[in-house]
Amino acid sequence: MVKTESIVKKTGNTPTDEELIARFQQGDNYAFDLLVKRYKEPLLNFVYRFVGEREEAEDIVQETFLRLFKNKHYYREIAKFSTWIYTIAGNLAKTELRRRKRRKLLSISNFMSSDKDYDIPDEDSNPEREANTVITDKIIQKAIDKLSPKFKQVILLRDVQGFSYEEIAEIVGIPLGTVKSRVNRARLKLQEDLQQLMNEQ
Amino acid sequence: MISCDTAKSMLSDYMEHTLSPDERSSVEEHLSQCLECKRVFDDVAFLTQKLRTLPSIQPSENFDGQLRLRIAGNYSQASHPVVSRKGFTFGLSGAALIAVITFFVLTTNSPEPQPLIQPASNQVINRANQIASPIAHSKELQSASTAKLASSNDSLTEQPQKVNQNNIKLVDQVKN
Repeated sequence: MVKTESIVKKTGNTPTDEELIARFQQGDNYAFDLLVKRYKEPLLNFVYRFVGEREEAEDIVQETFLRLFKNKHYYREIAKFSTWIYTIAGNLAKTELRRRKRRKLLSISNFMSSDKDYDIPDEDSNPEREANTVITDKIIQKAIDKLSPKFKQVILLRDVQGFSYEEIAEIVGIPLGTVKSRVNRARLKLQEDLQQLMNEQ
Repeated sequence: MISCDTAKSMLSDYMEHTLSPDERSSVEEHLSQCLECKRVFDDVAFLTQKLRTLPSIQPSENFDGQLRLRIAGNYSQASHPVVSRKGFTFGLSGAALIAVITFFVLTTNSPEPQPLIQPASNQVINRANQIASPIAHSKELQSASTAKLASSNDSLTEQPQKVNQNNIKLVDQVKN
């Protein structure tokens, strides 16, 4: 088998995700490295917005890639690779939120967690970047955190990650019509929560 | 004129230009007369725009290295025989239960009167244990389970940093 590494170097062609996973399934680990390189950042941002904590998000993304490594043969060509990997990451993120909710119920001290300051990074180091924008980003993340996991998942996939409704239906495993109405309700709920947060300030 | 609820249910389709011309004009008519819905529509349009441009974060520098370690660690653990600690414990407790039941059945069905408390022979206990859980009572698997337990302890000592991180996280959460 001709290795993916030599194909990329010789031809300069960019293999598709599906070509890479097929090569990885045949034992070419360089194809796995390319998939990690391609997906680590978008997945990290998706999961980060989902769970609201950077360290936790990085851990979940690593677990996602570990599962890809272990379960590569479960992938079938009928699905797009991107929807498959986002399904794994989304499920892990939801599990983490459920675990956290259980822990929260057990700990009275966590009642203070609504005042928690999220480590939203600056977009860049430009000193001219307006403080207002940073505040808005933080409030938006707080509003996202208030959404239920099912709303959060679809709105992040649609409005942050830019997936089509059809792709979201595949990732979440629900009918297309349900995705559309859920995205619509999630947007309205986010607007309502944000309004409330702004009024509280 | 359509209701506020109907207008709101069409919000996404309106924003994404997927309404029929008739539906679109009915929404526009509603928005021209309902300030509350107009404000909601404007807010959502602003919000979706903001979501698209939220600052992104970068994976940490040692992301790839940590992933490699994680994969390598996972495979070194997987190379041990797979008998879980939990399964082993349940196997034993199940076996013990069956042993007790068998002991009572054998003693009560005996034609001659027997002392109330009589130690069961090793043979009876072994047989009962095998009936209860042939896997847990296979000698080879028992030693494999012990090896698995030992290795799980090793993995903890090998990754003190990870355990430590979890502790720190828990402490932080309590603080918050």
